[in-house]
Amino acid sequence: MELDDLKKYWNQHPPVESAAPDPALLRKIIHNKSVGIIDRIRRSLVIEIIFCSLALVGIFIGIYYSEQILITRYLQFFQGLNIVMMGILCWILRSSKTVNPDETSVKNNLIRIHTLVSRFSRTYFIFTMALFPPIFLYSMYAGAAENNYKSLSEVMHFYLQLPPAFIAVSIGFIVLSGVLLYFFTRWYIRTLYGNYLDKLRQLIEELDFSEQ
Amino acid sequence: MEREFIQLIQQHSGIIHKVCSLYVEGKENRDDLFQEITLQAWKSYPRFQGNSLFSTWLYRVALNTAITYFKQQKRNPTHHAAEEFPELLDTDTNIKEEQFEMMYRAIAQLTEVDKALVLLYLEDFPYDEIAAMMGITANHVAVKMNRIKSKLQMLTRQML
Repeated sequence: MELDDLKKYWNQHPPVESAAPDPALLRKIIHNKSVGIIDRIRRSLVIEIIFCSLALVGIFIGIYYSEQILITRYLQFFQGLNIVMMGILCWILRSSKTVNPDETSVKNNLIRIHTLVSRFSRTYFIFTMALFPPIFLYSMYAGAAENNYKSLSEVMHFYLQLPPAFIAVSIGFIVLSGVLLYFFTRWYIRTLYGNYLDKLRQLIEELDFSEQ
Repeated sequence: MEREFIQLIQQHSGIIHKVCSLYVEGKENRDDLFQEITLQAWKSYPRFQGNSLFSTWLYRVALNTAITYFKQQKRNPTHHAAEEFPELLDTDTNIKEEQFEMMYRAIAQLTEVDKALVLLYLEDFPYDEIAAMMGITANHVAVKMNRIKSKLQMLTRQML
């Protein structure tokens, strides 16, 4: 049997469809939450923007009450990072609104979804990695501050007078943590979105291949 | 608008059922995909301006949703593609039940893109409309369809 035989048969005897769904069920369905990846990303972005806004308010309060210049600088750094991150999250959220299943062809839809998901996962990765250095710097400062070293030069002096072996071990620990965080974040993002992106890429390539 | 949309979906629910039958296995998975397509259609409905038939528009939404719906499917080992269309098998005596089942099993092995092409082909869409929906040229639809036909022949032959 060939596809054309099936087509003839399909047209002569269209497959019997299930009974029209109950309007109450349809009403319930359209008020449900979508499980599609774009909607999940949109929800995630909205939650992250809300958290960033709350963190920003907290940082403002922290800066207002801060009495130590290094704490103030540290909070200001996070404030800047937070504002940049919020800007990028809003931009991705805005671009996610252009991905709609009714507006474009299958190929364009696949390309748009692929672009959005990779942009989202890349941002997630970059910001996770960007948080690593300031957190270490802060813990170093906090360690020195406990010993009543306040200014930057005092803090530097405090660390430079430590035994060289201790400094070497600390640097090794920081580098190792950084490398582990890098691989863990990469693995985590790949687990979340990697397979999905691979599958999208395959489908796009399949459509591109047919163009050759 | 909600009532109008529900009426339209009731009239055209067959389109969504056909897409679900091709893309996922088992009643539970089909129900999940049916819900997702209906929900996406509802969210997109305010943009539907009637420039095309509602059925054509719904095909586009349904295919775009189904192709990118890579949710882990709930297992249903007893599933056979031909079970999706029971009356199709019961009413015609000229074509053997086995042949239909084989053909549906072969279609189930195709990629998401090829399944979309097969569905639009079976639904008798002209090549230029299929091309517009898929985002490729009509010539390439023809090339792809030839390849799919050969592949289906090969797959059904292997099943014999």
